[in-house]
Amino acid sequence: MTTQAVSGLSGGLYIGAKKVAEITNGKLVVNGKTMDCTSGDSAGWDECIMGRRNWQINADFNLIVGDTNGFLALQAALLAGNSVASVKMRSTAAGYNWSGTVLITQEQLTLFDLNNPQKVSWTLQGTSAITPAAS
Amino acid sequence: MTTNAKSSFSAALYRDDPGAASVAISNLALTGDALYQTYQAAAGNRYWDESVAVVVQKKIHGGGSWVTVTPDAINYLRGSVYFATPLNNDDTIQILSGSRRSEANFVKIMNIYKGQLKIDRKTIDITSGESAGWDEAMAGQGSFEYTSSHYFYYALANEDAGFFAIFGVSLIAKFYSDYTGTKSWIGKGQFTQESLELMSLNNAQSKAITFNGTKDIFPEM
Repeated sequence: MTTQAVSGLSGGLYIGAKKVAEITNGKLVVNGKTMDCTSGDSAGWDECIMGRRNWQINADFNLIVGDTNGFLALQAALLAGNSVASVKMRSTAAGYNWSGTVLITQEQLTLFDLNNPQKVSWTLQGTSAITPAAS
Repeated sequence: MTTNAKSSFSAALYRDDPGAASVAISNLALTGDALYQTYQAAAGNRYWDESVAVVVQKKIHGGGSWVTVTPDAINYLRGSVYFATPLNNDDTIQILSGSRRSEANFVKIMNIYKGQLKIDRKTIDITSGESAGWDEAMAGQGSFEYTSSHYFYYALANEDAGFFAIFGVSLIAKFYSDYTGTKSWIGKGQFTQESLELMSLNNAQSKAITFNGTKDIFPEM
């Protein structure tokens, strides 16, 4: 069988339809917390039910200070403490994606590194649900 | 698409010299934003000295005499004033008098080989029974910190030799992504750590410094 794996080069972070420029790696983590319901009736096995869920995006980019719809938009939201709606992590430009509203909790700028270009790393904390979609 | 990535060789770190005198401001015109609420000085006339109160004046519809006004907020670092109620679109604003820190006196912190600026914002949990099972949060306090590593060279004027004079002193620091293109972040704070590696068989002497920001950081893009 031929693999259906998708290259990591096809993914990206978007704000609405606008792509944040020059991503080098990105990760979306969706967590679910469980509530322990183990009791004397659990026959010796842990029992749990689903509790709160949350999600977070960590992504690294080449630092492009002229990226108005990407870098500058995220930075402005961080400095003002505003949320950013319609943030999308895309598997491919027109394919599977996950979207939601985020608060930006960290911008990490590597301005000096003799062996690499300038970089910016973002931590985006989801607030409320994340929604997967096929396109 | 060709990359727009930048090499670190365009970057630079500068700090204010608290020993240098401030420069007087007089009759400095400010430019309004699209909402006619925030009025800011042009680059080169910002970084106002907080120890000298600025006197703000307005000309209604740009005519008549200057009238002294009290803005709802003054951001000394940004060199801007804010009015909660929008002004008329043809009102003009000036700083009659005040003082600013001069970039001409900023000192470059030399021999850098690694540096990172981190801007953080905490979140406040507001998850409730109405949150449909997903965590909800609102934005909390912001902060910033700069750390960098440098080769140590004691003879640099105003730099290593002068570092202890500015250690813990509230001052302005400016972090450039592109010094010639003046793409930068500027903030006020204190150098809170200097870590010196003075003995190493395989490495040159080096130092690591930490600058802790106080209040907001201001991108100048």
